[in-house]
Amino acid sequence: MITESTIRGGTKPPSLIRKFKTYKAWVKSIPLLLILVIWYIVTQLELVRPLFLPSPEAVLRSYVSLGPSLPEATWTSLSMIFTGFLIGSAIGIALSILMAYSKGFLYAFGTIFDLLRPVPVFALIPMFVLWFGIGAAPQIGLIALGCSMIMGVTTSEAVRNIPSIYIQAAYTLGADRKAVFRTIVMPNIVPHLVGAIRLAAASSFGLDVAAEFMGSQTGLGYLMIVQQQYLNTSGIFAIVILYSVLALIVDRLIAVLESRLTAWTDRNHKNSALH
Amino acid sequence: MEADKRTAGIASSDRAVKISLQHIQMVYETRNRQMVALHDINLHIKEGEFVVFIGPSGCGKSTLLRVIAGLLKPTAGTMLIGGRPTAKPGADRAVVFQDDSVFPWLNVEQNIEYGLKLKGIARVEREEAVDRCLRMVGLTRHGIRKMLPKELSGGMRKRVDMARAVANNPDVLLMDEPFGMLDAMTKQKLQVETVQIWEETGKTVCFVTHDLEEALFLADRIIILGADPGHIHLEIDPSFSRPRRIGLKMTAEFQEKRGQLQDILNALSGKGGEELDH
Repeated sequence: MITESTIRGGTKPPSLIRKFKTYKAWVKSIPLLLILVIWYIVTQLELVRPLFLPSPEAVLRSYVSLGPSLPEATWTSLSMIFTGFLIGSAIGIALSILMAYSKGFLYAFGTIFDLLRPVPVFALIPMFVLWFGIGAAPQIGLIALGCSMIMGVTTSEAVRNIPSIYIQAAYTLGADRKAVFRTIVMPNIVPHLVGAIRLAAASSFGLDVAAEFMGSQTGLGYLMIVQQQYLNTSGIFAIVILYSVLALIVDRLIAVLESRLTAWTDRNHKNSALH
Repeated sequence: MEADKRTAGIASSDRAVKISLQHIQMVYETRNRQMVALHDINLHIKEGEFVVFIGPSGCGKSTLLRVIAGLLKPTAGTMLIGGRPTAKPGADRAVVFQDDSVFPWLNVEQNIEYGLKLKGIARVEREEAVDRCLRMVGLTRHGIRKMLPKELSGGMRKRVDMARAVANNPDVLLMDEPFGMLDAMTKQKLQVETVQIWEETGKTVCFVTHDLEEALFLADRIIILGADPGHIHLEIDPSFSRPRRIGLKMTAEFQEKRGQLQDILNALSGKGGEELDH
């Protein structure tokens, strides 16, 4: 009798494979370590002026000197990013689903959407400052706009790409429009949306930095501008690294979510045929 | 029509008309001309009848099936299902498509109970139905219920597809070249299972194929469609006794009828200037 686990190729990889995996992780991290070593050597030998490239120790020291202002700044930036991201994603997803389902919505928003899509969101920053002033609202608005574009485009594409055979099959099995949305459209677009959410989350970090550069009195981006004014390059480095780590953590968290929600697709099989 | 030595034992003439097509017309507007896919189709299919549609490619046999399914709205004509005018798809007519239409995001069990869940049928009953239908299509491997479609072979997915259609307990089963993509062995097995399912359930079946042996093996009545425009050319009654078993295909009588059918279709394709894609 063939059991489920044998069909799926065993439950646990043998320890040999696991060893091989950690070995591979080490090999993969060599380039990163190399860069750190080169950075260290270059700054130790003072090949580059510290103004342009501070030493790793100077960056570490900056964390200490920036220490007191970091938690609040991080909190401000993160809450701005998440608020903008949530509002924007919700609007983007909702609008494109409504456009896919209702001709009225398509006619009302379709053209505006298509025209706005290629507009670089960063180019709108001066407008946002002019219209909404300086503060949290325009910053959140900018992040939301950027996210809604990314999520909107992806959602429209995802809905369009649902194989019509699934929808037809659902109708012949007794589904109505509402049931088709719940049982066919949603499960089909979710894997695409999770991918887009990763992209949107990464973009919201970028948009947050840009928004805080333009006019802000709090947040990590604002802190960075202050460091720039004092020519404190190591401080800038410290904040850039902090931003990157935060973005990376968020990205990893979404990646875990992604692999859970897309288990049924073939997307989890990395394309190793190219190697 | 007297091929009926079915287990049900009802003479076909006594059975009610299930599907009635009256002057069905299907016209597609292309950029520079009108394409008449179906012209004046008049057809009555009785309850429990197994009707097979064959014909050269482009004769509109799949279009006709989609009209019956309610997935295509005819440009003219009326369709009565069980006496009622119908133009929309519904749970009373299940379709098994040629392409893979098993939902890849649901496991085998969830696929099969899809329609039942929409109907709000209780879990215990759904479980029973899943079991019954899995057995009916010959999917008995341990642990199959929780497997995802991507873990199954093409033949197994087609079985799940059939189980899903049967589980919904439709009056009519519409099959659009369902085994066209499968290898010869799997195809043969599924033909036998189709006959068994039909004998067990007594559903009305409309089956589109371009495989003449498949048509002769399955059908109560073979409807040959001609192309340009799609029309009913001829009706044939294979009149092999039931129950039919796979050995039937080897008999001289079967092969002779197959030859005759081939001749008819060759003449028809020659006239239409098209090759039979067999």
